[in-house]
Amino acid sequence: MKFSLTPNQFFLIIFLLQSGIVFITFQTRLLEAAGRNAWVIFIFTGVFQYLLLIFYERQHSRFLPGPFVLLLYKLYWIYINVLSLTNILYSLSIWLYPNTPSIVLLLFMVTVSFYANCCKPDTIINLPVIIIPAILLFFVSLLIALPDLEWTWLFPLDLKDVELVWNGFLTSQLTVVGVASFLFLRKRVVTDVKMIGWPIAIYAGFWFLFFFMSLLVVQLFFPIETIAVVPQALLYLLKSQKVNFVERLDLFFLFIWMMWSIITVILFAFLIRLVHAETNSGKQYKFNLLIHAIFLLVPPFFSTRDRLDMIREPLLYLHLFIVVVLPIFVFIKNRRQKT
Amino acid sequence: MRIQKGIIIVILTLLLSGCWDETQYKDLTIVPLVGIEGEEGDITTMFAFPTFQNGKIEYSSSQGKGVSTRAARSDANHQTMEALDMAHLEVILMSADLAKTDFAPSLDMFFRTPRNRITSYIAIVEGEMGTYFNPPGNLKSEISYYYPELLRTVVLYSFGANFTLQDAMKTMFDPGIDLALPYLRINEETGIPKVVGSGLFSKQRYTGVTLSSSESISAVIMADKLNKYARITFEWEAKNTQITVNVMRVKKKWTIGTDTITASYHLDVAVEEYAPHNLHEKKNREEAAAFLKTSFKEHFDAVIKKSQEAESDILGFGRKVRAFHQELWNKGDWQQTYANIPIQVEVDVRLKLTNIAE
Repeated sequence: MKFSLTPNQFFLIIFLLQSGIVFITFQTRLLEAAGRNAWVIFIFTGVFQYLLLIFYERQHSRFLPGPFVLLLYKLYWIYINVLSLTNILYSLSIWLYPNTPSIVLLLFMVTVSFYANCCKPDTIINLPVIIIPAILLFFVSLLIALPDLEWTWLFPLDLKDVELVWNGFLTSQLTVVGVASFLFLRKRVVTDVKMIGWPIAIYAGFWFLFFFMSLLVVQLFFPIETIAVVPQALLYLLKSQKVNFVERLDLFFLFIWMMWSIITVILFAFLIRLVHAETNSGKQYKFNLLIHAIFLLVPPFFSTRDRLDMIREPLLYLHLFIVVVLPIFVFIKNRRQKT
Repeated sequence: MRIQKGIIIVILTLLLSGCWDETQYKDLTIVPLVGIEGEEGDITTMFAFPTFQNGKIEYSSSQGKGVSTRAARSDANHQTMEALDMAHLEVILMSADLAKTDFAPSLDMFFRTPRNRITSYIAIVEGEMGTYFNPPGNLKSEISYYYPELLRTVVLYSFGANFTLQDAMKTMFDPGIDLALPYLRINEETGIPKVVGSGLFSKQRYTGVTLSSSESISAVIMADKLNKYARITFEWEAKNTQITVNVMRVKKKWTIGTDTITASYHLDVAVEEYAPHNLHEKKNREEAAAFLKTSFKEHFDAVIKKSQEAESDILGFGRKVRAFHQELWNKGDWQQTYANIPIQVEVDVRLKLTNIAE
């Protein structure tokens, strides 16, 4: 696959891979796991993500995975896409389309992804641009809730409870899930670009601001005792805002989130194809068809509450393995081989 | 070419996915007003809704009974031509007797169903719910229109704050604050439902204690939740006159000690009505400000006294206590701690505008 990325395209793709699926749900899960400590724990996560990006940038030239490691990454991203699609189906069946058969919704999303992945890479790498206005709109909508925020809900903290803090940190990793794409896309960035310094700092800062602000607004809008009652707190927050241009802000954002998620699914499918192409030359059409058949057939099976929880459970542990352990293993292996 | 056409048709068919969830108004009855009474396990719900008869919009009502609000709605559906839809609900009236019980499950249907609106107002009514759906007096308006407008006025004139369904549910689940909802009673002279004050809650239950109208405005001022107007009239006996002021701005400062709370307020007010119209003289303005200071303090003290008697922390001192004063918070049940802690109120009034052309 031949294509190159500008730094802006590169960071925009990574941002979408990190935010696409979780930006509407992670706040509730983090608050459930960490309680009022959530905002402090997310600052740790912000630092973790920044250090991880610097680490990746310093070592990326040594990231030369073998076929087995590439297979692991492919399987992991297939799993992520299946999980994402299942999650989207579940949310849509509750909020927007309770009577529409899930296969119809899925067919719509998977067909779009399949079509996009049949196009040239340049088409896909420019897709995230569509989301830029939505990001700004999202920030503005959160600001509407500003007068209703209760600042005392930031305290008291309980950082001595190690289990609570660890659970929170682990759950906050949901927002870092797509970061491994850095290692595969970095070599596609036009040469002579120095990433260490401002570029990574600006990206990490923007990523942090985006997630931290949405977390903070949710935490200050709902008493912690309510979080268990409102399963998708951010949507409830948007639903409670009265604006003139739309009756239900939450539904408006669900459509935006749907678009955001579909582009993320397309990008993950693209990454899978990209990794597949590293070890398999020739036409990718059949492989593209195969992965999209998986995306079409597997999610409906898991779109019940119990099964969704079941496949969601291993995500965070798998994520830490894929994002931290596996790259370190590859870096060390390649260093030894060089020496 | 045929294949391409086929693909386009398939894709366009997918765009019809919304049809499964299409809801047509002709199949539904939009309910703007709901009244709930009874107790959990034996709920009676009344619904008011518009109907189209002889080319005119007329309002009708229906009643259902069941073990829950949802069951009561299903029961009412059997007596209505079309299914009752709560997506555009504007007002929920709840009987005082139901409010004294664990009523949160009765509101769950309205609060957590994604289709439903959560910005509807909620209020308590005294007596039989049926009286509020068929008031004895001449309303000169349909009830489905009357109650939403009445409660919008309550918000606009700061008779109450935070009583949408969303706010009420949030407040109920927060242990650091208690709920206060508008309290309606049928006016004996006119037979028309009237907001007579605010019902005080303690730990998710109505206490039976209500604040009067002026105390309700005072409570809104003390919580710094002013809306467009916050007008309050004082009887100035020494001058044998009345003075009406509009509170424009509130600065509050709560100092919380280990065994006492001091609530300091600085109010900027505009005089709306004052018959002696001599406020162009500085001396008179100072005199009026001093009077207002004393009067506001009396009102604020009354709010504190009543809310302490009801063990109802409607101002939310508990939020600050829980966040920054754990020693006090952990003394025991907050509502009881609140009822027993001495609260000192300090008021300073600045007469900013006289609002009468001089």
